[in-house]
Amino acid sequence: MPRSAFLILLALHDGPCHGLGLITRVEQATNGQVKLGPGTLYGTLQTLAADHMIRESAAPQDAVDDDPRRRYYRITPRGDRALRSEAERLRVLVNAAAARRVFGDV
Amino acid sequence: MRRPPGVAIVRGLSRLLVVAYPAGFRREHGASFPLVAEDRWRRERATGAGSIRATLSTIRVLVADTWTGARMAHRGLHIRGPRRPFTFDSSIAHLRLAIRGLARAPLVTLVATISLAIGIGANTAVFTAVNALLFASAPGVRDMGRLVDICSTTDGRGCDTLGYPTYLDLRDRTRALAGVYAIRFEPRPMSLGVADGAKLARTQDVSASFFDVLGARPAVGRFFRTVDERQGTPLREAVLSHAFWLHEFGGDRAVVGREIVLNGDPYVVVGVADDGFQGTSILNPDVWVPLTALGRGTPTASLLQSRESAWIILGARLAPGATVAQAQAEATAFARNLSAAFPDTYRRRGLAVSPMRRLPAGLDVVVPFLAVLMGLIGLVLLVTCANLGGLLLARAASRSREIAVRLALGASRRSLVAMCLIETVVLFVPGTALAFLVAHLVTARLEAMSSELPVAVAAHLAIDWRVAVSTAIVALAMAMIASLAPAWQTTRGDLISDLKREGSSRRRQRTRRVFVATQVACCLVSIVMAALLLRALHRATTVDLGFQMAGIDVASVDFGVGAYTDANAAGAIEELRQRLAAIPGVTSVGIGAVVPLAGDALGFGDLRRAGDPASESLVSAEESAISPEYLPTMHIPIVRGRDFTSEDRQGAPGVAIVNERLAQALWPGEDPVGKPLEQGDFRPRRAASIRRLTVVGVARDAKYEWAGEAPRQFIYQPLAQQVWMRPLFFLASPPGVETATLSASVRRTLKDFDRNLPLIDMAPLRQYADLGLAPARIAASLAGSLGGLALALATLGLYGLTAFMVSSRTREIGVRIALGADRARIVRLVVAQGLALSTVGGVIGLLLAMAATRLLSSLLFGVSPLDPVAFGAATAAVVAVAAVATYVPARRAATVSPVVALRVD
Repeated sequence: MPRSAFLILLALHDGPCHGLGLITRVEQATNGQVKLGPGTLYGTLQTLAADHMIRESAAPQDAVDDDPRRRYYRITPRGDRALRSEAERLRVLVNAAAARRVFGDV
Repeated sequence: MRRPPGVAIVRGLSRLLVVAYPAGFRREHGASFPLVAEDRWRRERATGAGSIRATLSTIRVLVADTWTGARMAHRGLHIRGPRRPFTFDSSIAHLRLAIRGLARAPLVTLVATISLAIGIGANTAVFTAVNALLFASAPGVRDMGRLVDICSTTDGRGCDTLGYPTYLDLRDRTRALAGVYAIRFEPRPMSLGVADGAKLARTQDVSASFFDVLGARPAVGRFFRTVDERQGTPLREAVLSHAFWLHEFGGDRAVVGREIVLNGDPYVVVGVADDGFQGTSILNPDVWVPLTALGRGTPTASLLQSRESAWIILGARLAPGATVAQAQAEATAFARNLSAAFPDTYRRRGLAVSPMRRLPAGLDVVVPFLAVLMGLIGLVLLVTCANLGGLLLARAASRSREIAVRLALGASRRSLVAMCLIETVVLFVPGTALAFLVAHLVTARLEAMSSELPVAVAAHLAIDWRVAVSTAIVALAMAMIASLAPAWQTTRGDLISDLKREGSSRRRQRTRRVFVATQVACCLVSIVMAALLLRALHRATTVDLGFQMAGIDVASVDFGVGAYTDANAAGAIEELRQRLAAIPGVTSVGIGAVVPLAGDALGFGDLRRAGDPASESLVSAEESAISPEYLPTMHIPIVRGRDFTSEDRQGAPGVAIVNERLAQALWPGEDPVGKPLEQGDFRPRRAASIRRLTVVGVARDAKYEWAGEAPRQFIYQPLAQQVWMRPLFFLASPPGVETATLSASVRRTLKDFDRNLPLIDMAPLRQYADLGLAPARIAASLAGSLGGLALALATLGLYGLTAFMVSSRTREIGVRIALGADRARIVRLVVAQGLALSTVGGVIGLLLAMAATRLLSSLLFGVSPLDPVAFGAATAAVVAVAAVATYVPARRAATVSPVVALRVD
């Protein structure tokens, strides 16, 4: 699974969100390492939607600034499953690297 | 709210990049792109990046994003297998391969390097100059972006000077402006008293607020104080420019408080401006004095109070938070009040507020000149790129076999394309390095030229690295495209035919031909322009001037400096004239107010036949005031009537001599001698300003302002009937008398006459005329050298391509020779093919040139933009070059030995 898809699913795991908000969440989640551009963002959103991993949703009740043009997305059960299995796969990889003391700290 | 420029840039870029996405995606998400781009920019800013840094890193994100995003949008999401990593090792290998490959083709490498050096170097130099003249912020001025020009409009149009009272009113009432200053626009010469006589200092009159509004800081001392600026009280203080201070006072800090003498009046030096400070325009004064100095040569008290006279320009700084639009609204309201209060003076007048420009309104002629320059330089860049593209294409074709072998052996197309790209980059390194040298040389030459301009222009031309880098990027991008095309072609090539080496494909040949034709076309356009400008210069220097130029020296003396009054100056001037005429070797001396062909003129204002009621019949003319000896000294014949005599003096009836053109305009087909004319302000209630003059003679037409001018209407008045403190003495002497010896005698005579009178200037008349021709000369020599450059580049390109075509046809030529074709025939064949291509390019070039030369017409002195001589000469030059460039390789082809040729590969 491409990194951008994983990160967007991860961001939506926290709850429904709109495009610009996703950029913020992804940036925060990666300590500012990943800066999503518009093409990657909407390209990924479109494909994830086509794969039924996310779906457009109404704005959540607690949304503060309600710009009607904003489109909110939320994760589907299927997307959630894909996210979990990808995270699991990554954990195996990371653990394997950690066992060989690949990470410099400690 | 206005967006910061960085945001505008990234938003614009994101809109552009959307094109890479499929239409459906664009409709769905396109509108969000600018939002995200702006958000990204602000995020970068929030992390503490400067706005330039934020813009750059946003651009980087956007570009990288388009690469991934667009592919995703086109193909959908795929979980792909591991990609082959583009490792450091493989790029080093590519690099070594590229360097080896280029070393094996020294001709290509050399031609490309030279083309690049010249193309990028010349571009950098010219952009540097344009940047310095038009866009760079003025040195020593704080926050130039908040400064505005304020000028007077008529019916909402134009940009004219204003009167001093308008400045005072505006200064005291404005709220949208934090500060207003007034200056007399052009630096004017004043005589600076020094130990052994007098020197020239270019002086600018400014309001006391000038330095404060601009936010300048003094290097030494202080600037003028606004509190000292009072109506009717002379403020005799001076601020020196830094350069003048170093040059004239050796950088002595004790100069502050010292007295200097300007035009005979004492001024106290209060300070020295910071290094480089020269106000906001590119004109460069030596000394600033207050507008209210009330000295000789500075504005008089009555001028300062007059609402009718318009002679200052205003600048202002916007108040914090105020916009240009607010300032404009305020100025409009202000102007409306003025015209209500003084309906006669301010009728139809308004005020225009605009962001400040460095190029003063009077120098607008520079703009088309620069536009032409930019056009030419663009052509040179185009020729450079066509050169490179052609070369790389030829090279790619010659390597098609090598590439086919690599492909057959399993090299990926990706790595082959990468190889081509890396090669292009490597090719760029020496060329770009050399380009900086070229830029440096050209800039130095341009700086030297600016000293020939008739006004003192100080625009320091430091090579702007940003300009150099951006030019290099443009050229690199074009070369990338040029090298990608062949790389793409090669890797899509038909492996089998390439392996068998069956010559190059049809498509590839066509591309190459397009390059050659483009080169020839661009080159022809620039050569035609250069030829036209040279023709114009030639015409300007050989045209019949209508007066004698040789053997005349001009001595300029300022009687305003000495202790002369309006009443006794005329007598003193005449007495000095007689003494000068008595100098041995001087045959006659005439006095005039204007040096012909020096590029300046005195406007005479509107005039009409006396008694004509309609103000529509007004005619305008330029004037000079002359002594009775002037016309004979200059060999300007009187064709009708009489010359002035000593009887035409103050108190006698006003008389004038008109030139033929003016006579024709006022009295078509009649004898003007004895007819009265009127001059002055013909608006209602201004009748008092109207003067009546009787025409006593008609002088032959001549050239007045500059040699290239169209015939003008001109009027002479007797010097004795005017108050004129700066007479110019025109000394005629027989051939063989040197200006230097003459000027020593003149100096002696002047000292005997009155030791306080400085000789401001003494030079041969021809030198003044050369000064007037300086813009034309600079344009012609620049265009000439750029045209030469384009020609040299195109020759290189043509030669390289023909040589390549010949070498790729060695085998065919060998077969022809083996079958009995004679060598002359082979030469003809190759030359004919090369020339056919040049002809196509040439015809396109001629058509383009016909369209392009119209833009030049303001610089052409009446030479037609379609001048057949220029077009013919340029075409001949290009044809000759094309013939040589194809003949040399053709000769080589003819000497091919059939045995060797058939054995090739």
